[in-house]
Amino acid sequence: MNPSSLDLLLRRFRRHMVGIRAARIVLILVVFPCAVASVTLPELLNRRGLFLLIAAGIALWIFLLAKSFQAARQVQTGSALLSIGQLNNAETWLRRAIEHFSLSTQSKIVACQHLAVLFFQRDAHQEVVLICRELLRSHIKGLRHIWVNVRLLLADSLLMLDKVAEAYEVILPVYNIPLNLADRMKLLPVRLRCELATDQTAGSVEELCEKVQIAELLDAPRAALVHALLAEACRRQSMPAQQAFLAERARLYHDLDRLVDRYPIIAPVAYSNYPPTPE
Amino acid sequence: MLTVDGVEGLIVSSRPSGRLLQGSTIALLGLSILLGAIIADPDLIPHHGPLPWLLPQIVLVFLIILIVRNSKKQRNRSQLMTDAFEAVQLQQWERARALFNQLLRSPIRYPTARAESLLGLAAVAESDHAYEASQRIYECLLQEKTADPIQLHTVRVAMAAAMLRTGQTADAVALIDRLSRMKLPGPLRAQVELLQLFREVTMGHGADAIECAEERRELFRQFLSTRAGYGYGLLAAAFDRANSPAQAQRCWHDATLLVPPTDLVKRFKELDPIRQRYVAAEIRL
Repeated sequence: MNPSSLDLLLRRFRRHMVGIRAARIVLILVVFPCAVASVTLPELLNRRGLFLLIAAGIALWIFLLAKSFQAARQVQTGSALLSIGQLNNAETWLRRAIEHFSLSTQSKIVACQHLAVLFFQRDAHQEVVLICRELLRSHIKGLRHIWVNVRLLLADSLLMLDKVAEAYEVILPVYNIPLNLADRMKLLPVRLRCELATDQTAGSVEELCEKVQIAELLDAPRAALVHALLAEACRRQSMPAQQAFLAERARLYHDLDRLVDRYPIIAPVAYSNYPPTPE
Repeated sequence: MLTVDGVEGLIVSSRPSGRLLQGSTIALLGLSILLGAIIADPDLIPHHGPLPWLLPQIVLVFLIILIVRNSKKQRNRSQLMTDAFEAVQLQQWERARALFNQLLRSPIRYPTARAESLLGLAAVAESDHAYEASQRIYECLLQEKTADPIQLHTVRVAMAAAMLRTGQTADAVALIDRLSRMKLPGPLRAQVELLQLFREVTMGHGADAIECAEERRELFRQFLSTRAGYGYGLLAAAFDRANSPAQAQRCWHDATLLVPPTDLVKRFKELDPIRQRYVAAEIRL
């Protein structure tokens, strides 16, 4: 997908979101007054009017339900293809879900979020930033899980683009809300990278045991990354014993040489062949 | 501690009811009948008094209450499920037991969510060494076949391990052989290799275990993350039996760098002699 078609898609997404919200308000503003007003009509008209209103309501409801179901299936297929690495096919399905007519904002938002994940996997961070910013503009704070994920994804991409200050700004609101374990697992590497990039390493070495416990739950490359980041923070804070332990563990999880290409911030830990022995 | 009877009770109570008519379906059906009856007989509702104009509003309010109630119930259950899985991940077994007891006491409509919850309960049972109870859960999931393919694979692997513990060695070996012959992607292959290594260590086939030790080590490292520690621990046992103390020490060091020795021995009591013979990694945090 080239930048102009992504821009077009995002514009369409924005239009749909505004349209859906307006349609919902109109529906509420029409149905309720109609139901109330029908009682003021003469008896026969009242009954017929009420019957037509209910029948139309049920027909509309079934139609919208079918459309929402179809959109949800498209998102589900896109997400399944994404998880097995078929990025091109996943993109087609997710595009379809975004362009598809339905009154479900949630499926469109989820489709957009998956599209951001897809671009992240392609290392197209500029595109990730565009999509995530668009999502954050769409008032998704009610869908907290998605809101947190989008902010983390955006911060991650901004860090990859070396926009540290912006990344920090994006991630800051996430610090102040209670998170579940899955979100804390996603937050930890991003937060550590932000702190190391801004040289706030005193915060990184706080509650070290708790951070290591969360890192242990991550998959091998990410567990290695978090251990290496913590080791780097310990190095900067002159904590050689902890640094040596964390670096040794990081190497046991994954090859740091491979990680350092993507995350140069861990280079001092990755290239120290002989970790300092604790005094 | 979980018992076979207790687990059986939770399996039954969590099974979704086969009834076609329930909850919102009944409400919609009732509404349709009411609508049909009003059309068929306009005199069904008295022409005078508040009922003709009150009835539609009552129906509307009733539907709204039903939708709100259902979504609240759904939200509570999904929060309960999240908490229970978090407790399992953090190995807070007491909390996990209480949460799964609460969760599985009533029917779970979605088959994969139910299977995942039952797998969580089985993990709790295994933490208590209640392998008969966990085996009952695996048998039930295999019989019902409502779980997804990856869950079913996990069930088969866990079932074979449980059978090794409960002394059903012949069945366990047959199942492990069948799993080993399957073409599997890396993460699933790593689970099977760990199981096979466990079988070899339990049955004293040390030579088989160390023959492909390096490949296994790499597979564990790549796909099992922290759980690779259990693999390294079992490799240490295999090297120890094959009289290779230097390699056994190296594996035990790596194992204890990832998982504390007490946890290794709690999960595999076969590692107790290794703990006494070799030096564990020093935790410096």
